[in-house]
Amino acid sequence: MIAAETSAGKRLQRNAAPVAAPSHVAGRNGLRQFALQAVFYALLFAAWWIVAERGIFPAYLLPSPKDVGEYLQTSVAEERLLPAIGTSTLRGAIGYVVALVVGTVLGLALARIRLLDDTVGGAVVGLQSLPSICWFPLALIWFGLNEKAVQFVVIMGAVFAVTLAVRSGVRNLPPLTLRAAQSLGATGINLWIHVLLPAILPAFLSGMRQGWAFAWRSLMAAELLSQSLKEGVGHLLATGRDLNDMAMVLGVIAVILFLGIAVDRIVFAPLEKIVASRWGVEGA
Amino acid sequence: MPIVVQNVGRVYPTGTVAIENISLTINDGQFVSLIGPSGCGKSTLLSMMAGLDAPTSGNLAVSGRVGVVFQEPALFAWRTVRDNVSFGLQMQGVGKEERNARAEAALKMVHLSNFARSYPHELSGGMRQRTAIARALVTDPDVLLMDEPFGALDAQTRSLLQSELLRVWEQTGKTVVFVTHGLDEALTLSTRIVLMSARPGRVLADLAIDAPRPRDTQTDPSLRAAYETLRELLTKEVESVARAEHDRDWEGMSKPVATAAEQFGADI
Repeated sequence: MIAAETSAGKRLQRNAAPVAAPSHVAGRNGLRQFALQAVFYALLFAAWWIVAERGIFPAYLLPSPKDVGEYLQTSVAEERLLPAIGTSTLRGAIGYVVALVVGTVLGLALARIRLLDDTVGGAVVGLQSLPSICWFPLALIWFGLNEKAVQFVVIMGAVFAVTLAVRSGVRNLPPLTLRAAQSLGATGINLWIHVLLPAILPAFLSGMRQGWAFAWRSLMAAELLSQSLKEGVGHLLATGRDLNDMAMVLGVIAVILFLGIAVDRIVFAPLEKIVASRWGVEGA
Repeated sequence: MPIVVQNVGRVYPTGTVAIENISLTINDGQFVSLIGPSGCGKSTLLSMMAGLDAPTSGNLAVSGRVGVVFQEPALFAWRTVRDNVSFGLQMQGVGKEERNARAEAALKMVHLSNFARSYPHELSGGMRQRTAIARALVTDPDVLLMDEPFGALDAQTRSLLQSELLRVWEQTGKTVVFVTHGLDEALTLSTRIVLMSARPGRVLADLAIDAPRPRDTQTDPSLRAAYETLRELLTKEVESVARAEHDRDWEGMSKPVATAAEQFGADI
């Protein structure tokens, strides 16, 4: 689970990462992990196949992998799946970018303005624990059943994770780093551009990553409840349920899972790796 | 006279009096060590000289540019060693080429030329602190303020950096104010030692140290004498702190604490 890793956990991980450890050890561990995972998933898949083929459960409850594969193939052939993927990804991206901008500004403000933190800061921490789909009824009344309502839910899902990551990033800066910068003549905008922002980049990245995980799950929840909009993958999932088409349900779940993980692995993991290696273990 | 401290006091918002009525004049080219029990306000005084803190009473004037080295290197992890060193110049708006040339010259002074392109996390503790010294030197400050700069290093690295610092000081003739709690370190380096009292910090003793260099604090008779004087004063101060902290238990504690105080005086 992507979002289950808290930012604190990640920082701990980064701190613990042994820089001095010879790289071949890390490589061997990586290979071992990969091999074990491959075997695990292969076995899981095989078990599913066997159970489904044996007809232990009726096909409308547990279709075989072949049925799911066929659904995915047809859905692509009918030009339904790929457009839905495009629609959802675009929706998620728009809401995510808005949440990123708002969350970053809010997080920086909370970290630097005491009064704001004592008031708004507490509310942010509280709101972070509210599942974002709870905003959907409110959004429906405010905006009606349209794109705005869905975007609102996505933004509310992601914005506070980003805010809190940025805030704790600034808060956890060693005070000496700031004093050193000030003693070297960095003030005002220079302090922000050359010290504060680069210094919080590792924390910011883990906030970005969490924000994406929250945005994506919020979007799926909102799409499940908003069928009349332009078709996204969440809508496909709801349609599968309406049609009692279990192959479709499982196929779409797989697609949603794949998209969430793919963005995490393709966009965020490499970024974090670059930053972690350059910023070093503890940010000296 | 680069640094003039006149009746300076510093009271924290909590009401704690960190420093009370300190007056001190530091001349060009002096190497002054500030020494005293922990919490005596010596770092506070240094911060005020650096302009990172302001006195609540009295006047404090530092003429010329100031470079600061802290107890920890406090380097910028995302910048290479060279870009760390050139940071101060960048803030002054110096162009890239000149910046790099001057950073490399400063790195040469601390023997880190080969690591200009490394990142801080690739360096050892001593190398990081040398980078921090180069970073403070690059703007060619008139005064170098150092807050227990070698306190976090192992003994060998420390003595290496001490001699490196002495060499830089002799080459450049800068005024150095050096906070330490090591009596031995102060005696090895300084032309003058200012001993501060326990909180609230006042000046207890102000000694000129003019023993020839290179110094051996174990054998040089004038350094031995200075050492004894300072140690005695310091032991008394540490005892008075311990007495205050232990309150009524003091009588029972007196022996082990006195021993600890001796050890403190005998250098850490």
